[in-house]
Amino acid sequence: MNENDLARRIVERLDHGLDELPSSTTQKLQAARAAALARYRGDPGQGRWRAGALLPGRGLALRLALPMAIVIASLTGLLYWQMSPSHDDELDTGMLAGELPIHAYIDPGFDTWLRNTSHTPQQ
Amino acid sequence: MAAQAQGTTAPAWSQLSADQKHLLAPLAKEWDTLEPESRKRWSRMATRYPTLAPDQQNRFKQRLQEWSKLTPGERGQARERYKELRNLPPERRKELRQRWHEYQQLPEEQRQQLREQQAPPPGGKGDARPPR
Repeated sequence: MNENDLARRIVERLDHGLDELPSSTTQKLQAARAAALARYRGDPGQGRWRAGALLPGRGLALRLALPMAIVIASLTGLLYWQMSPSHDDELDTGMLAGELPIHAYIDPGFDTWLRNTSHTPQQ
Repeated sequence: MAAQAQGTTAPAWSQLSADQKHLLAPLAKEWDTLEPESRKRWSRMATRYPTLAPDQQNRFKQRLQEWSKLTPGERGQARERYKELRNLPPERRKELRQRWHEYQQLPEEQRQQLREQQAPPPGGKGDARPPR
Protein backbone atom coordinates (compact mmCIF):
# COMPACT_ATOMS: atom_id res chain seq x y z
CA MET A 1 0.00 0.00 0.00
CA ASN A 2 1.43 3.31 -0.99
CA GLU A 3 0.88 6.71 0.64
CA ASN A 4 -1.98 7.69 -1.68
CA ASP A 5 -3.90 4.50 -0.95
CA LEU A 6 -3.43 5.00 2.77
CA ALA A 7 -4.62 8.64 2.60
CA ARG A 8 -7.68 7.65 0.55
CA ARG A 9 -8.63 4.95 3.04
CA ILE A 10 -8.24 7.37 6.00
CA VAL A 11 -10.47 9.94 4.28
CA GLU A 12 -13.08 7.28 3.53
CA ARG A 13 -13.04 6.18 7.16
CA LEU A 14 -13.39 9.75 8.44
CA ASP A 15 -16.17 10.54 5.98
CA HIS A 16 -18.00 7.32 6.84
CA GLY A 17 -21.31 8.07 8.49
CA LEU A 18 -21.30 11.79 7.82
CA ASP A 19 -24.61 11.52 6.03
CA GLU A 20 -26.15 9.92 9.10
CA LEU A 21 -25.19 12.77 11.52
CA PRO A 22 -28.15 14.10 13.52
CA SER A 23 -29.46 17.47 12.33
CA SER A 24 -28.70 19.06 15.73
CA THR A 25 -24.99 18.17 15.28
CA THR A 26 -24.82 19.49 11.73
CA GLN A 27 -26.51 22.74 12.86
CA LYS A 28 -23.94 23.19 15.65
CA LEU A 29 -21.08 22.59 13.22
CA GLN A 30 -22.54 25.07 10.73
CA ALA A 31 -22.98 27.70 13.46
CA ALA A 32 -19.41 27.21 14.67
CA ARG A 33 -18.05 27.50 11.13
CA ALA A 34 -20.08 30.67 10.49
CA ALA A 35 -18.85 32.22 13.74
CA ALA A 36 -15.22 31.38 12.91
CA LEU A 37 -15.56 32.89 9.44
CA ALA A 38 -17.20 36.02 10.86
CA ARG A 39 -14.31 36.53 13.31
CA TYR A 40 -11.76 35.95 10.58
CA ARG A 41 -13.35 38.46 8.19
CA GLY A 42 -13.95 41.00 10.95
CA ASP A 43 -10.23 41.37 11.81
CA PRO A 44 -8.01 39.54 9.38
CA GLY A 45 -4.84 40.56 11.15
CA GLN A 46 -5.90 39.66 14.66
CA GLY A 47 -5.18 35.99 14.37
CA ARG A 48 -1.77 36.56 12.97
CA TRP A 49 -0.89 39.05 15.70
CA ARG A 50 -2.03 36.62 18.34
CA ALA A 51 -0.09 33.78 16.81
CA GLY A 52 3.08 35.84 16.61
CA ALA A 53 2.60 37.84 19.76
CA LEU A 54 6.28 37.83 20.48
CA LEU A 55 7.30 38.83 16.99
CA PRO A 56 6.94 42.63 17.40
CA GLY A 57 8.98 42.49 20.62
CA ARG A 58 11.67 40.46 18.98
CA GLY A 59 11.75 42.84 16.04
CA LEU A 60 12.12 45.80 18.35
CA ALA A 61 14.89 44.07 20.26
CA LEU A 62 16.67 43.28 17.03
CA ARG A 63 16.24 46.83 15.77
CA LEU A 64 17.79 48.17 19.00
CA ALA A 65 20.46 45.53 19.36
CA LEU A 66 22.36 46.41 16.21
CA PRO A 67 22.75 50.18 16.88
CA MET A 68 23.60 49.45 20.51
CA ALA A 69 26.24 46.97 19.45
CA ILE A 70 27.67 49.55 17.04
CA VAL A 71 27.71 52.25 19.74
CA ILE A 72 29.36 49.94 22.28
CA ALA A 73 31.94 48.79 19.75
CA SER A 74 32.65 52.40 18.75
CA LEU A 75 33.07 53.55 22.35
CA THR A 76 35.29 50.59 23.15
CA GLY A 77 37.39 51.31 20.07
CA LEU A 78 37.64 55.00 20.92
CA LEU A 79 38.67 54.24 24.49
CA TYR A 80 41.23 51.72 23.34
CA TRP A 81 42.59 54.16 20.75
CA GLN A 82 42.83 57.00 23.26
CA MET A 83 44.66 54.81 25.76
CA SER A 84 46.88 53.16 23.20
CA PRO A 85 50.53 54.13 22.76
CA SER A 86 49.89 54.95 19.11
CA HIS A 87 47.48 57.70 20.20
CA ASP A 88 50.26 59.40 22.20
CA ASP A 89 52.63 58.91 19.26
CA GLU A 90 50.19 60.56 16.89
CA LEU A 91 49.62 63.39 19.32
CA ASP A 92 53.31 64.21 19.69
CA THR A 93 54.08 63.63 16.03
CA GLY A 94 51.20 65.91 15.07
CA MET A 95 52.43 68.60 17.42
CA LEU A 96 56.07 68.41 16.33
CA ALA A 97 55.33 68.12 12.61
CA GLY A 98 52.48 70.66 12.70
CA GLU A 99 52.59 74.12 11.24
CA LEU A 100 52.44 75.98 14.54
CA PRO A 101 55.72 76.28 16.47
CA ILE A 102 55.86 74.68 19.90
CA HIS A 103 56.18 78.08 21.56
CA ALA A 104 52.80 79.11 20.21
CA TYR A 105 51.32 76.54 22.59
CA ILE A 106 53.16 77.72 25.68
CA ASP A 107 53.69 81.46 25.23
CA PRO A 108 51.27 83.07 27.70
CA GLY A 109 51.66 86.38 25.88
CA PHE A 110 50.21 84.83 22.72
CA ASP A 111 47.21 83.57 24.66
CA THR A 112 46.66 86.99 26.20
CA TRP A 113 47.06 88.70 22.85
CA LEU A 114 44.52 86.36 21.25
CA ARG A 115 42.04 87.09 24.02
CA ASN A 116 42.62 90.82 23.95
CA THR A 117 42.21 91.21 20.23
CA SER A 118 39.05 90.75 18.28
CA HIS A 119 39.10 87.87 15.80
CA THR A 120 40.39 85.29 18.22
CA PRO A 121 40.49 81.70 17.05
CA GLN A 122 40.20 80.40 20.57
CA GLN A 123 38.48 77.17 21.49
CA MET B 1 74.15 46.13 15.21
CA ALA B 2 71.88 48.37 17.29
CA ALA B 3 68.44 47.01 17.95
CA GLN B 4 65.53 48.63 16.18
CA ALA B 5 63.93 49.86 19.36
CA GLN B 6 60.29 49.28 18.71
CA GLY B 7 59.59 46.54 21.19
CA THR B 8 57.97 46.54 24.57
CA THR B 9 61.09 47.48 26.53
CA ALA B 10 62.31 51.04 26.80
CA PRO B 11 65.49 51.22 24.73
CA ALA B 12 68.74 52.60 26.06
CA TRP B 13 70.43 55.18 23.85
CA SER B 14 72.97 52.59 22.78
CA GLN B 15 70.17 50.34 21.54
CA LEU B 16 68.81 52.86 19.08
CA SER B 17 69.60 52.50 15.41
CA ALA B 18 71.88 55.01 13.71
CA ASP B 19 68.89 56.69 12.05
CA GLN B 20 67.01 56.93 15.33
CA LYS B 21 70.06 58.39 17.06
CA HIS B 22 70.51 60.92 14.28
CA LEU B 23 66.92 62.10 14.49
CA LEU B 24 66.67 62.04 18.27
CA ALA B 25 70.08 63.65 18.83
CA PRO B 26 68.51 66.70 20.60
CA LEU B 27 67.27 64.30 23.28
CA ALA B 28 70.56 62.40 23.61
CA LYS B 29 71.72 64.09 26.81
CA GLU B 30 68.50 63.47 28.68
CA TRP B 31 67.66 60.13 27.05
CA ASP B 32 68.64 57.92 29.93
CA THR B 33 66.69 60.05 32.39
CA LEU B 34 63.49 59.91 30.33
CA GLU B 35 60.66 57.78 31.60
CA PRO B 36 60.57 54.34 29.97
CA GLU B 37 57.25 55.10 28.25
CA SER B 38 58.70 58.28 26.78
CA ARG B 39 61.76 56.46 25.45
CA LYS B 40 59.51 53.88 23.81
CA ARG B 41 57.34 56.60 22.34
CA TRP B 42 60.26 58.58 20.92
CA SER B 43 61.80 55.46 19.41
CA ARG B 44 58.47 54.54 17.79
CA MET B 45 58.08 58.07 16.47
CA ALA B 46 61.61 57.96 15.06
CA THR B 47 60.75 54.71 13.31
CA ARG B 48 57.67 56.28 11.75
CA TYR B 49 59.46 59.51 10.88
CA PRO B 50 60.32 58.42 7.30
CA THR B 51 56.59 58.09 6.56
CA LEU B 52 56.05 61.83 7.13
CA ALA B 53 55.87 64.25 4.22
CA PRO B 54 59.16 66.13 3.59
CA ASP B 55 57.89 69.43 5.04
CA GLN B 56 56.62 67.59 8.11
CA GLN B 57 59.98 65.90 8.51
CA ASN B 58 61.72 69.28 8.44
CA ARG B 59 59.36 70.74 11.01
CA PHE B 60 59.68 67.64 13.19
CA LYS B 61 63.47 67.98 13.32
CA GLN B 62 63.31 71.70 13.97
CA ARG B 63 60.66 71.41 16.68
CA LEU B 64 62.51 68.60 18.38
CA GLN B 65 65.31 71.09 19.01
CA GLU B 66 62.78 73.43 20.63
CA TRP B 67 61.22 70.54 22.53
CA SER B 68 64.51 69.46 24.05
CA LYS B 69 64.88 72.88 25.68
CA LEU B 70 61.48 72.88 27.35
CA THR B 71 60.87 72.04 30.99
CA PRO B 72 58.62 69.09 31.78
CA GLY B 73 55.87 71.51 32.76
CA GLU B 74 56.13 73.36 29.46
CA ARG B 75 56.01 70.06 27.58
CA GLY B 76 52.84 69.06 29.37
CA GLN B 77 51.36 72.49 28.73
CA ALA B 78 52.21 72.31 25.03
CA ARG B 79 50.55 68.90 24.73
CA GLU B 80 47.39 70.09 26.44
CA ARG B 81 47.16 73.23 24.33
CA TYR B 82 47.82 71.26 21.17
CA LYS B 83 45.03 68.86 22.10
CA GLU B 84 42.67 71.83 22.47
CA LEU B 85 43.60 73.41 19.18
CA ARG B 86 44.16 70.50 16.86
CA ASN B 87 40.46 69.95 16.25
CA LEU B 88 39.82 73.49 15.09
CA PRO B 89 38.44 73.74 11.56
CA PRO B 90 41.16 74.24 8.93
CA GLU B 91 40.27 77.89 8.36
CA ARG B 92 40.55 78.60 12.10
CA ARG B 93 43.91 76.85 12.26
CA LYS B 94 45.09 78.90 9.33
CA GLU B 95 43.92 82.04 11.10
CA LEU B 96 45.77 80.95 14.22
CA ARG B 97 49.01 80.56 12.26
CA GLN B 98 48.49 84.02 10.81
CA ARG B 99 47.88 85.42 14.27
CA TRP B 100 51.06 83.79 15.57
CA HIS B 101 52.94 85.41 12.74
CA GLU B 102 51.41 88.79 13.63
CA TYR B 103 52.26 88.25 17.29
CA GLN B 104 55.88 87.58 16.34
CA GLN B 105 55.97 90.97 14.62
CA LEU B 106 55.13 92.78 17.86
CA PRO B 107 58.06 94.47 19.65
CA GLU B 108 59.61 92.19 22.28
CA GLU B 109 58.69 94.70 25.00
CA GLN B 110 55.02 94.46 24.09
CA ARG B 111 55.14 90.68 23.99
CA GLN B 112 56.81 90.67 27.41
CA GLN B 113 54.06 92.90 28.77
CA LEU B 114 51.47 90.51 27.40
CA ARG B 115 53.24 87.59 29.06
CA GLU B 116 53.26 89.39 32.37
CA GLN B 117 49.54 89.99 32.19
CA GLN B 118 49.02 86.32 32.75
CA ALA B 119 50.48 84.52 35.73
CA PRO B 120 52.55 81.51 34.72
CA PRO B 121 50.47 78.34 34.91
CA PRO B 122 51.21 75.80 37.61
CA GLY B 123 53.85 73.37 36.42
CA GLY B 124 55.69 75.88 34.28
CA LYS B 125 59.38 76.64 34.65
CA GLY B 126 60.88 74.86 37.60
CA ASP B 127 58.44 71.97 37.58
CA ALA B 128 59.98 69.21 39.61
CA ARG B 129 58.49 66.33 37.61
CA PRO B 130 60.99 64.12 35.86
CA PRO B 131 61.72 65.06 32.26
CA ARG B 132 59.74 63.27 29.58
